[in-house]
Amino acid sequence: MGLLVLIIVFSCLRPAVFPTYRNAISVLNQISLLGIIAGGTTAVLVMGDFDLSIGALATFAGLLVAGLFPIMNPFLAVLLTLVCGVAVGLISGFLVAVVGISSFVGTLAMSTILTGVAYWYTKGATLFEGIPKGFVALARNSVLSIPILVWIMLGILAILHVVLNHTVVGRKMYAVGGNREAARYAGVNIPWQRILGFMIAGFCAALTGVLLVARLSSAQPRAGDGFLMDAFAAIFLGAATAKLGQFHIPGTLMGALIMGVALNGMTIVGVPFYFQYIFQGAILALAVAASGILRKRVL
Amino acid sequence: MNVEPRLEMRGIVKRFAGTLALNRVDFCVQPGEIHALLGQNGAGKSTLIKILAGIYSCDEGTIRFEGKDIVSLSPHESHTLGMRFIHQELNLVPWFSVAENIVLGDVYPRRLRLIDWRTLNAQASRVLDKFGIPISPRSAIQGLSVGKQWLVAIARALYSAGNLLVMDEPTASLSKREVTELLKVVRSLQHNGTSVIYISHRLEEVLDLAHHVTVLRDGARVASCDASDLDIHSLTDHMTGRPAASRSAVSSDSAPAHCPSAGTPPALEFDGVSVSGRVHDVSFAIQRGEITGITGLVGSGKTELGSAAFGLIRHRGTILVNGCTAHLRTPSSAMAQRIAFVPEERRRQGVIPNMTLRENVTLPYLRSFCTRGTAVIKKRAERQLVREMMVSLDIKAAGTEALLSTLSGGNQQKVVLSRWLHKEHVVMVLDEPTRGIDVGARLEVFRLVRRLAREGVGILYISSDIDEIMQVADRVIVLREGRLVADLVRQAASAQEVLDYCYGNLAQRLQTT
Repeated sequence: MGLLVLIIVFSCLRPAVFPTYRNAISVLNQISLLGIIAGGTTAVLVMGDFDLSIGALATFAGLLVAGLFPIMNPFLAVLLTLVCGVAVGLISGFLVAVVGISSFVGTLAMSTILTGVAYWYTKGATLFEGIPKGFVALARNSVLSIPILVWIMLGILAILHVVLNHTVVGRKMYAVGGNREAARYAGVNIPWQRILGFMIAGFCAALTGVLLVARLSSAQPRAGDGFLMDAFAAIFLGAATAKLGQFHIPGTLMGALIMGVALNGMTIVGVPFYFQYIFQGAILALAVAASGILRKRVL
Repeated sequence: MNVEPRLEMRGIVKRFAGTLALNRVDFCVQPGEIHALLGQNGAGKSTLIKILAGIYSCDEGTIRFEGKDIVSLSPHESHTLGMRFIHQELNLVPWFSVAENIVLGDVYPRRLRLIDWRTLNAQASRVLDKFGIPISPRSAIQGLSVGKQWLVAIARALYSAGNLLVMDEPTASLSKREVTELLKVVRSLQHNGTSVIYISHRLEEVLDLAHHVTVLRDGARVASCDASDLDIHSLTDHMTGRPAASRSAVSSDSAPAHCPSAGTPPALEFDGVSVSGRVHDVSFAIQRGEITGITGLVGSGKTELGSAAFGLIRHRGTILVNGCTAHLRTPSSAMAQRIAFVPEERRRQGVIPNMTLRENVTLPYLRSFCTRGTAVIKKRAERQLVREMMVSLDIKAAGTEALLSTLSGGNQQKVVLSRWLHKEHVVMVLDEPTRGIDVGARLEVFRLVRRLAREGVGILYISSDIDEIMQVADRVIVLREGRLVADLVRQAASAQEVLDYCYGNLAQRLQTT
């Protein structure tokens, strides 16, 4: 609904530029990375946890992969970085689910540590040497006239959707989010489920960071930090689209699309960039409030 | 007594959604009197107290306090009149000193706009001395035992001129020495003219301490007399409503309901099981097809025992399933031993309100709804099972996809039970399975439990409702303060006897086992 309104408004304001196939593809391409990182983080939010380290992890993964490219096979470099992302998720999950730190504080600490390590590793410089051409092509080329990054996003979201809605693991995640104590009494291994959620978020954040390097053909400190806000805004917008205010993958995609269309439209219409920040912040607050109200109505 | 009573409640009626919680209850407390309020769980004690505290308003009846008619009572007005309540959760701030806690909620003495600590401590120690409480006002709450904390709570309650003190189960978690200390302080209150309403399950203590005793049963006042006119047996008779004469008549024509066939190992066996601080060295066995009822007062350890059998809490000692030692560390390890568990608190531990009926039923054994070799759930298989459950248990809901929160309490409880019914179990632990559900649903639960027993499941039926245990169980085990104190064949026992074991006043009846 909101998406439709936005599209109509922007189409009326700039009929020559906004409602074109090219621009639609461009919006999809822009949100592809947001879609991936928000999709992974949805798994954590489903269980009532937060992961504030995703932005820093994306930055970290980008710097890591860019640093590894000159010294090893590019496939191995990417693989190693993704494994690293999963490991960071495992550590966050352990701190939260086993040690018992609140996920908010635990992942904030993790985020700060990752930022520190990233600066230490690069001394604040941008890395752009030794990035393979074929890797950069990932972000430039299309298959069936749809950008490869969009295909990757759709693939990841499809897998996440199936996992969350049609498998045992996903059902248990929703149960943990619905009533942790009751899930435990029904034999669900709560710590393991929560750790798994953080590992999924870690994997997706690392993948986002890696693909960001392909898009920018360089890795910069703080490059991925902005994903944190955008991802949460997208996820909560998505939850507000569902009847019960529950987090779900199609909603997250919808939220990412709304964010993408709004930002794209505002840029085309010529809204100054600082208004875009204000819009993002307001959207996050509104979306959280709306999904919260929906959820309360159930209980 | 010609003195004006401190508190006079007459003809108090309170209804909750059609059920009568209090039925024309009269309740009078004199100045300087220790008045014990007794009754089983659900008798109406806490409803009566909550009316005094201004939390509930009564539907009918009058309240007079110090000779003045009270028209309406809010928590604030109740406080202004001088009524003070100490609940089981003491609500003390652990990192504040004793003095700060005593004065908390009142005006702190100040000098130059800063807190005047010397005056604060002096004021606090004046209160402590007045009631003979041997605690320094400077010590931190954290370092005090629960017993000492109760004394601080009393001092706080009476710091600002209270004249009626209500204490809810003050001695439930205290050691013997702490109890003695507490009771000494309570006795000293009457010299200052303070009236005390004292709620406790420990009957000897009540008879020793109180001047007057009021007993409630099923929302009505069944006795109100001087403590000196009562003994423990007449008290329990009042509480259960069974006259002493009929006590022994019930239990004569009995063979054990279930004779386990020799040779088969018991479904579940506790061998010296302890849970730290809660259960001490409990041993007994449950045969297949046997319904074993476990009862006891709050804090008797019955819930902990059930939780240990489902791997929810750590225990020492051995638990055997089908004659083999079972290592029950988590619920899933218990489920692997084919143990099922229905928890005590449905809302908190049982249901997932924002999930559908279908998802709630299939949660524990999701794997059995998956396509072979994968983890993908077949929703059609789930729906089919849930529809069967809805028919066989008569679960009333809009359909398999109805949100669980839209179901009534009784139906929600049936959902929690139905989770465990499509798999065969060796043992089923039911903790208060009929709490908060209506009479019809309760009978259905009983029927279901008997059916499961006939199918060979060993059932551990935990309940604090003795009548319920007597109705459903083949055998009754009584726990008191974490120890097994009685193991009775149901037909050979009376509710009275079971209650005596619960309260521990059985010295002369031990031979009946």
